[in-house]
Amino acid sequence: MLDRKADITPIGESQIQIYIDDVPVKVAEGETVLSAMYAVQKNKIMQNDYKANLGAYCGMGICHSCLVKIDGKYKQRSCKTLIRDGMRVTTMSNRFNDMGLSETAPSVTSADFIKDAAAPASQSESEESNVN
Amino acid sequence: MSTNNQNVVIVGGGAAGISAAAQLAELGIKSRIIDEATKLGGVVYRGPLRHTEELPHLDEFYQKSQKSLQDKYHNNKDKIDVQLETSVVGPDGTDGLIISDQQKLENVKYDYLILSTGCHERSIPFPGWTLPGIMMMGGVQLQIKSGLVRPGEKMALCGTGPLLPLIACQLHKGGVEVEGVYEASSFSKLAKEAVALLNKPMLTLNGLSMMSYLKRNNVPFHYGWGIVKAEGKEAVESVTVAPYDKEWKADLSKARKANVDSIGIGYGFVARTQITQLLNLEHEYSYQSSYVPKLDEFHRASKDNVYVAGDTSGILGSDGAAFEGQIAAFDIALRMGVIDASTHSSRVNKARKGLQRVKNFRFGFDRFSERQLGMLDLPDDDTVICRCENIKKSQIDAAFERGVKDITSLKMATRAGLGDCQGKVCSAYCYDRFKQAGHQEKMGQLRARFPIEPITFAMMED
Repeated sequence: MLDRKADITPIGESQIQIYIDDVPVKVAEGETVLSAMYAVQKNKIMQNDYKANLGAYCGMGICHSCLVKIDGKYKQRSCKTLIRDGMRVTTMSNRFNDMGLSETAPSVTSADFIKDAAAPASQSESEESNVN
Repeated sequence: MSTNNQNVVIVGGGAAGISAAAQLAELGIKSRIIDEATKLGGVVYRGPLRHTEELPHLDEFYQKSQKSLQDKYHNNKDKIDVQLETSVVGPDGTDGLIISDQQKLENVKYDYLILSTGCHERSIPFPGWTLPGIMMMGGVQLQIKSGLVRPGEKMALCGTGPLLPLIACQLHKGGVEVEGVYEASSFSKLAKEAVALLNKPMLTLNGLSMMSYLKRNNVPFHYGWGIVKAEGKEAVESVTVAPYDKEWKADLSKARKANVDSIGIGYGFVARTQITQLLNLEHEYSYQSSYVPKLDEFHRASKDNVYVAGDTSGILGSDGAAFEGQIAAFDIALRMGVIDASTHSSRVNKARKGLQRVKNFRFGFDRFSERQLGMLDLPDDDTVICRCENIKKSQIDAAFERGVKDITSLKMATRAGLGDCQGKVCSAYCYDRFKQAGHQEKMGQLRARFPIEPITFAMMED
């Protein structure tokens, strides 16, 4: 059981718990997965597709930097997901990295041929194409 | 009182949305609020998400404002239909929205639509800004006010504006050791706004009492200082700050480093315009708020039956948002024939007067806090600008050197803005780069993409 060390007010008698990386944590009805992680002072939360470690950044569903695996489902925003009794949360999980895809994934952008192409998709949105 | 069978849909149940719904209800008009959170109130007034006996870290002033907004809803709830934990994912034909509750999609038709989706924070890239432990101020506030947890034990706060002292006090009362507060603008600049600040004497007094609380508790508050970089192996271990000049360029010769386990960053806000974009409303560039929808004096957008209120129409904060929501509500009531033209004009004028007082006060702070482009010098070549796609500053520079002058071309050239967040995080920096390079007229708006909230394939099957 991980200790809740960062609560501002006590959560009181709680009968429910979740598992964060297989370790049980007492939680209170209504709180978000992110708050439960902060309560046990866990701030290293996810790895992006490029293996960069990220933590919660905006905390309100905008930045997608607090994605965790919840009950087997990848890419759940911990800041927007409420805890449920028995929930299993996995941090630092990323489907691409778990499958070993990151090393092989090609990283092609239109920058590779931008000198020849006149940015086709931008023409539909702006009359003037601004790539010279 | 007439009852109506026309659908008024309000997206976003914060100060603007609740005020609009409550005003409509008082005029006998039913409405439906859709909000992504588990409680109404918006980011500012959501209140605690779990049970707690007390809120020792939140002042009385805040608790009163929160209660009064929640009361507006409770007193009118027979006429307000609320759908929580529900997000709009895009438009559905004309006069329709597709909404998601994470389980299934639903279509919603409206005769009148009020968009009060608020804002999110402006990201400022600097070396180390993607390290775990660095969080924007709104997120910090949500953790302490709604989550009732400390997002760090020893924290530095870097940013600008009235939120800085407020959050510093809340964190300190919540048991966080606040290493220092670094306000980018100088004190002499604030002193020039004394007249503007007197438009809201209570708020100004409240601000002064916060400053004195910080002083009594030995929390250092530095005017004219700001972020330089963050360092740490796996998460933040230190912050480096330095004096900022008028252009917010850091004087690195006087930089100072301190050990912290977290940093709160707050250099302003950006209007949340993903839905207004997908509805094809006309927008205009605003240096303060990024792109905002064009509105008439009754907050009506370029589509006749769509209104925009609150920070989505330009950052003013929750007091202003409440008046804007009311103005939209009166206008809808007039068009439904529930109130006559003279009632409409007297009620709208009254709300406008309140709104003007908020603006007079707010604009003083806005002038004080106006972002300066010296901060664009902070990131170094290897600093990631787009967190989702791991695009570094050197790649953005290379695209600029090749002559990219608009944000869509920048996205194609680099992948910046193509990730999960749809560019909500990196676009603020990119717009400022275009502005600095003199391309403001041509840079265009980074387009929101359907679905603006992630949905699963399974949800689309039905």
